[in-house]
Amino acid sequence: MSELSEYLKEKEQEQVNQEVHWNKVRDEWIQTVGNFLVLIKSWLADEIQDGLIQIEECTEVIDEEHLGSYSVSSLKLHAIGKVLSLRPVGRLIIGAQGRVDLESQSSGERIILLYLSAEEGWVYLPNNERVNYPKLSQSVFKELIKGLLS
Amino acid sequence: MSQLQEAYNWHLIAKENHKTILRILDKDPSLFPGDAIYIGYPAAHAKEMLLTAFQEYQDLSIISFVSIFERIVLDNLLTVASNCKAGEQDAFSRATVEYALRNPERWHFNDILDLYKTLVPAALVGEIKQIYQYRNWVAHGKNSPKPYSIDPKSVYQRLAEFLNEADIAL
Repeated sequence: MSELSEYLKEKEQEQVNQEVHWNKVRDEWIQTVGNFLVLIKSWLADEIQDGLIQIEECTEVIDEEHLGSYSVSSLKLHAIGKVLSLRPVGRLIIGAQGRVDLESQSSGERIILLYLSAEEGWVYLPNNERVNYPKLSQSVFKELIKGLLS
Repeated sequence: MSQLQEAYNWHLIAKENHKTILRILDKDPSLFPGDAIYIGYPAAHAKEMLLTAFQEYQDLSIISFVSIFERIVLDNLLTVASNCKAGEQDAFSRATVEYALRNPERWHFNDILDLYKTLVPAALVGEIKQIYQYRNWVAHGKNSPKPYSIDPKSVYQRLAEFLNEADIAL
């Protein structure tokens, strides 16, 4: 094999390695959302068991550049006559690897939840804060829900 | 390097940055820092915002180029007028030039451009007037319909060409 051929093969392989595998990105995102919603349900298990919160499983269709159109799970939480939705917005998000909005359907108030990475997990975006996003935990999430229902 | 060339170089650097940001946005928008003003926005939305901001930036670049050009031309005209005054023997002619020199900021720039028709092809003077019209449209808040489309590169080229034809150092 000539030096040029070797060089071209090497470059070709580099390009393949650098290529973003969008299908994989999309499938991982769908899985991440699914896992997140399972986690949310586990955080609210007591309230669900006591009948204080009812869960409605839904599906959203999202269309994103590179990822195309895809279906992903979402949730509606019914409590004290109000409805909160947990709606995935997309995977290709500035500064994050995904976004889900927690929204009150009656007031329209919305809290942005960002998935930073597998290591950093989920955070929420406070209104006037641009750094040190609070990490999402069971207690934080319950506080957010209380705020939206009040 | 002249002020006009410097301003154009800054513009080119900012343009490169813009392209790089768009490329990152396209490849992996999660790489943006946590304090980015559009944190949490979908990439497609942020892209639209970036493109709008860049268009505004291009217009501001044009304002900057034209302002520098205006200053260079006015300075040149003041030099020419001062030289005329120095060589003028007749008192009335000298007073007339003196009067003109007293209020250069009141001169109409379109009239000034016409003076250069003896040195610069009329078509190029016409193009500079159009650029000036575009500059005014931006500077006055874009309240009327856009006169026409123009980009910073061609504005810089036209302005530099004018200065070159008029034998004014860039």
